[in-house]
Amino acid sequence: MLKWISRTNSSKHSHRKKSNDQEIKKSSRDNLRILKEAFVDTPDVIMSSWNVGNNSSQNCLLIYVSGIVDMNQLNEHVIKPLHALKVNTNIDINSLKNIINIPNTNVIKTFRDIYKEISDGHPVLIMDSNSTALSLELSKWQTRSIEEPSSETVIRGPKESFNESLDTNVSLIRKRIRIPKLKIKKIYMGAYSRTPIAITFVEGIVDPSLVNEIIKRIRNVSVDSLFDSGTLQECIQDSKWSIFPTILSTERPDTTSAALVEGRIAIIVDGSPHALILPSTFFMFFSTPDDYYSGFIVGTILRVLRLFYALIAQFGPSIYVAITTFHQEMIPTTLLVSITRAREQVPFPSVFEAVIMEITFEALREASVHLPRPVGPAISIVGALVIGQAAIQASLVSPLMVIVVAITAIASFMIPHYELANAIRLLRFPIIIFASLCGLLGIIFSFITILIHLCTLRSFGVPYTEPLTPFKKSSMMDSLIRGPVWKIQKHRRFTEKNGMKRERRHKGR
Amino acid sequence: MRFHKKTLLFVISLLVLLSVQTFADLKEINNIVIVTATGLDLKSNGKIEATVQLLLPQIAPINGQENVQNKSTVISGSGITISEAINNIERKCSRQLFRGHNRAIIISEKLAKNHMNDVIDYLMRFREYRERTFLFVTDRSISSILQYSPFLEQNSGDLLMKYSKKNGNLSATLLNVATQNVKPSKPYIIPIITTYSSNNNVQEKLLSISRSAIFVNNKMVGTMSHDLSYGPQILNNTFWQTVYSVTLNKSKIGLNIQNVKTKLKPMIRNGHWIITARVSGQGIIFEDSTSQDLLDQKTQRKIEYLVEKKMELTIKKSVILSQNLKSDVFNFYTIFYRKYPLECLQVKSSWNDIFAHIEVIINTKFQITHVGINQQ
Repeated sequence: MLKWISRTNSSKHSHRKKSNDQEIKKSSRDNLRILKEAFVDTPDVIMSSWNVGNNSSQNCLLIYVSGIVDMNQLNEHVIKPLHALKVNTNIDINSLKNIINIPNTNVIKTFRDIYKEISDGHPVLIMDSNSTALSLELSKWQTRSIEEPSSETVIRGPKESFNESLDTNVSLIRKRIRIPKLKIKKIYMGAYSRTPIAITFVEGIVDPSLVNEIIKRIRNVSVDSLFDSGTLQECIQDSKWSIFPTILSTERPDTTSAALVEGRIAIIVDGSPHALILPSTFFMFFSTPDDYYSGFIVGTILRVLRLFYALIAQFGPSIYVAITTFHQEMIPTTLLVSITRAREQVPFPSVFEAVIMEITFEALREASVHLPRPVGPAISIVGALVIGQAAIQASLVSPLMVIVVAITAIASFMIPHYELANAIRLLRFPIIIFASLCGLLGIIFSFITILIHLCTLRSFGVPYTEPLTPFKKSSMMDSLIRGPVWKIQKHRRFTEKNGMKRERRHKGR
Repeated sequence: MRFHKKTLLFVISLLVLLSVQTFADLKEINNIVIVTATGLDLKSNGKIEATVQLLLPQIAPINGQENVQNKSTVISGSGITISEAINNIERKCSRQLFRGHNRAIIISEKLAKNHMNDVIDYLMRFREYRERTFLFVTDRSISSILQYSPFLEQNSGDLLMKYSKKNGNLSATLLNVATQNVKPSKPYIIPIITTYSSNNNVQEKLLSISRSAIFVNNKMVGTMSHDLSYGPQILNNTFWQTVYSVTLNKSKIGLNIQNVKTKLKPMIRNGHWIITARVSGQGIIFEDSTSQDLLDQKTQRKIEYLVEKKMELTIKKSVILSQNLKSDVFNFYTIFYRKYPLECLQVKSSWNDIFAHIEVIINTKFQITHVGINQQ
């Protein structure tokens, strides 16, 4: 299956290169004809031409896509000066640069470039008797304003989040890392969408081979369209068949900047408010910005609490199933008596009960994600009644099972990153089955299987379970626990050897 | 592709193997009945009668308003062996007996005098019984004890467990007995429970631990009164606390005895086996009928002396009793073995006779730590 998928992927793309590689003609009438042919049925592409100069001898053609261009600036700094132009001779591209007051202009030569530029929101100016054209960087995309992060909320800490504009997102990082060593490499992806992607890293800290590897992987991906970083994540991550995410995604610029300073790389995809951070390890999915902003004692306690509850989220229902079907001697007698009493009228074995309840909970969760906002409270009331009250009264499930499911649900939402929470929630089901087959032995068996799997995972060459295995004393301070800032910062670089040396050398200069 | 097939095959076979092995252990909670206490008796025809106390699960009311009392019932069955007897109970029962929560095992005196070996063997061999199950011997009928419904706990099994767990009471767990079983002459003590009528109500009976049974070589050979059984407890350093009453100058004084520590020193001199016990402890005065100056050092010393003598007497009496029964409940063998391993191994087979002639020297040292608040 893997092979089949990869084969279909590779065979798809062979670009239509030839037709677009035409060079810009000297005659503006020819140019207009070619452009009119290209932009049939595209009313948003505006082409306007007029004559400039004292004797109106030279024709000038302006082409842009309406809605993504800053019309005010275009009028003020391009169209007005051109109309007021008083020259007798034909002007060439270089002198045109002096006439219009735009800081960023590019000289382009082919029609393919014209198509590219106007799609990026850059109006293109073609002057008669010139075989080149000038693209003006006057794009103005409609974007959301910077809002509070919706999925990674904090009590203490910055409340900015990325939005869908690549430029804004990069600027949010630039705001936090104000040195020229913050590098941004731009790549376009998607045959149809041509989505710009920014690979950001801090030069000198990052491992250069890692940057090359990422660029190589991104270039190897061929997709038609790319509308969110999730698609890119799926294409470039290491173990594509693993349920565990090996790339962290975040919508917080501060998390991203912290990762960059650690020597990681962030990939920002235009149109996606989630930046990808890589390489990322298992324990990174358990840390929140709150850990770092609210003191190390509280931070450590919160992190340990989160890890503990992650275990509960993973094994809670299965432990219940295992103990009530295999190891009744482990339950305190009084509790066993009340469990027996509660289960007396329940018609199903406890596995079935557990699976039903977990699926019901998953359904509720999934429904609540897609609910139209006004209906939300109604569904949550129905859910609470169905799961809580009615199911017990109808003797479908025992009250203890409801408690177990509730605790598990709370525990699974304590994992700060949704992708990992999803993985853990899904893995719960096979573990319940194992527990019902073999009791605690089955749980231990599945735990070991998961551990082995985690140990085999790599995220861009970095072992997923670092710093536990392989043990790395320097990074231990910021994994299971959150050590004091002065201890973490000393060993912050995960590419330690490389980073530290480079840092020192730069300081010396 | 091939790799995936192989892993799939591996996982499936593992699943099958594991489930085949473990399905036998599957006990759905609705299919078991909790045994809270087991009683074992020897009938006159030589058969063993086993009685179990079962906890009957009551259906919980949906509102959870009513307080449901758990009911217990008692079933018995007989057979040549204990397992057969229990199997006969299982035949009468719709659910599987689950003995993982068994609290107490009550053995009749008749069985204890003859077949204690079989009982211990069965209890240790059968995995469901816990090592910390409490053992009791009784001189009353077993079913009467199991059917007894106590006023504080849910059933008599629960009562006996809590009673034994309470510090200061006599208790013997299966684990205690099993560890004593590897020692020469296999000496151990198991408390005896009896029922007695309370003063004002003849119908209502109460359970209590009155004496303890002394075993040698898995046979009950005698009993020891509750007070005397403090002797082995003190010498084994398992003593917790008790209240002593002494009389000084016509004044009755109640003392709480705490922190009793014992150091045993074994010695073999000219073939004489001597053990020296240094017992030290603390006392708190709870009560004093005449108001004398308890802070006076001389008075304190007098009280301490009385306590020391009383404790010495208790220990001596218990030593003499157990020496007469030739039951080394004090674990003197272990103490001697630590210092004289070779000599001990030589007399291992005839340890009972050696034990009967061990000279026990007891030094007690008491100190009154608190005298309480003087009213005057």
